[in-house]
Amino acid sequence: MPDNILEIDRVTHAFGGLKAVDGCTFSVKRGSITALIGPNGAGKTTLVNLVAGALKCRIGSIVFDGAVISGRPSFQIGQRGLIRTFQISRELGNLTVLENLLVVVPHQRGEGLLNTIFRPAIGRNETRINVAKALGVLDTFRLYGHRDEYAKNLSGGQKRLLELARAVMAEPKLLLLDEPMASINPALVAQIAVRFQALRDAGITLLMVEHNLSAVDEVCDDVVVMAEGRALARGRLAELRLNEAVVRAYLGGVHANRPAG
Amino acid sequence: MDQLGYYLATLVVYFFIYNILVWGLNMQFGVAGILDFTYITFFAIGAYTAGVLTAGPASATNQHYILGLSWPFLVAMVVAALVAAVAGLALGGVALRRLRSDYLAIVMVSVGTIVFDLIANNPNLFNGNDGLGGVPSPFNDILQLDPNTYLYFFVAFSGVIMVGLGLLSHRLTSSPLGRAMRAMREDLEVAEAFGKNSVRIRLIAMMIGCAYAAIGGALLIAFISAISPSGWLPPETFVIFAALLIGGRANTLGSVLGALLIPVIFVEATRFLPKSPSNPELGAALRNVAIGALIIASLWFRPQGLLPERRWRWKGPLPARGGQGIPDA
Repeated sequence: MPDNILEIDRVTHAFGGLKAVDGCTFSVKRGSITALIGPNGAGKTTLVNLVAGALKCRIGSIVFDGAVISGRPSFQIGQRGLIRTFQISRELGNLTVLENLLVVVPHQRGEGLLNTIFRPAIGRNETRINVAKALGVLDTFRLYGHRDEYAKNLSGGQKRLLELARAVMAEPKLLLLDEPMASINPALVAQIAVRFQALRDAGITLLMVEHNLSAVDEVCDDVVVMAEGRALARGRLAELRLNEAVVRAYLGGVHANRPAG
Repeated sequence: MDQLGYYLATLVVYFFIYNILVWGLNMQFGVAGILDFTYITFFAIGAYTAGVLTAGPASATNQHYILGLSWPFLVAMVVAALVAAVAGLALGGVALRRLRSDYLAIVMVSVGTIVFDLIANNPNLFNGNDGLGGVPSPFNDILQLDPNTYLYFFVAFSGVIMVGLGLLSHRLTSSPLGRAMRAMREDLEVAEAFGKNSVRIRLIAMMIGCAYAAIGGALLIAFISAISPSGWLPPETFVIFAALLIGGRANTLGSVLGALLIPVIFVEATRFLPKSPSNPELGAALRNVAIGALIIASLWFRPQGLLPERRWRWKGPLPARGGQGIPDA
């Protein structure tokens, strides 16, 4: 297995005349929790969209788990085990919380047309197994009691949790998290941080865009700083705080151990 | 048989046929979220296909149409469903791959209009504007029933087909495949991000819906033994949409209620009201106005429909809690 699960090489993407991502190059180590930080407008979310295939990557190359994924449609990237969450929660509103988890389980034989018509037991058996797993995941993310609620009726914070629970349920190899800690209360942030470490220990690599620097400090092994569409520096957060370019671009007056913004 | 019995039995057949049509559209729009604004075209494809397959050669009549193979009805109906499904695959394969739902709707309307003009203005295909007539009644070459008794046979026959399609519809919508379709409806991009092939899943919904429309069309042409372009004008699609919206999207029984209320009671039953002699088209025009108003009123006051989508609940055993010790939020 290659050492890096994700290799981003000179990826460039422009909206009109604006180069949101401009020759961005970095890699993510397998089994790490890597943070992607940077000022607003640095191109972090665009990069996430390019990696996940929501935007088509035309310039540069992205290699995931040994296979070139740049330019592939997002469902193929998802099937390979690269799962992303969204900066603004995008729950499937008219599905229940439990269904939001059931639907993302990869490679379900019960989704085949012929199996559905002629062998419905396949889907039923799969569902029974998936429900057991999903309820466990919901338990972890404090949503067990809301399992039969329509996802649209959850509170903002609960929707964030659902976003994470759903991503975990999808059996990812690499989790791409776009501001997972946003609008989650501080007590829960600590618990989620523990959860992320447990995921990493279970063999899942995490790459997260995050502004909550104390959370980043706590859980991330590696930090990539983006500015003006490029990867500016990488290392541990403590080292980056000493890097003048990084401080100028992003950290500015933020003191250690205090969340930014 | 008395006149009222005949009239009611006719309405029941219409109800069964519309019910099948609403279920098909429900699969496309109610479940998978595909704005198929040319649904009635697939109904017509089914009706014409079944018509020219079951009718005898055109040379024996004073009509012009292709084929004329005198096939048994059930075979013709299945072929009609397949032809419509392939047509849906062709249209969906192009349109669903690239277009957002609003542009998709525009393309659908355009394609429907083109097909309509093609059929209405080409007299050699399906006898053009005069319409296809003299289509034989299914099984009556064997049964040799008198028209009144045959009507009751047809009620039972179409009823059996309807129930079968209803069960199939329920099996599909309540399956993991149905859940994936609903995920498409809710947020296409999210479903794709989780590895769902939206083109494949939405094409399945499209094809099943088109097959249902075609079976409805085949039953109709078998029942009234004729169809002409005036019988499937593009606005008819919106009658089916009205039934679906008012009955309740993504609810199999809601579709039944919608089919009963809108096309049957509201449209078909009122066709038999006395017409104004000075303006015979007034009734039809007023019906269209009223259907538009009903759609608006329904979306305004009860957007989920009379019978809303039923919430899926896991009814099996709940496993022991995971032991994470985190209380519910």
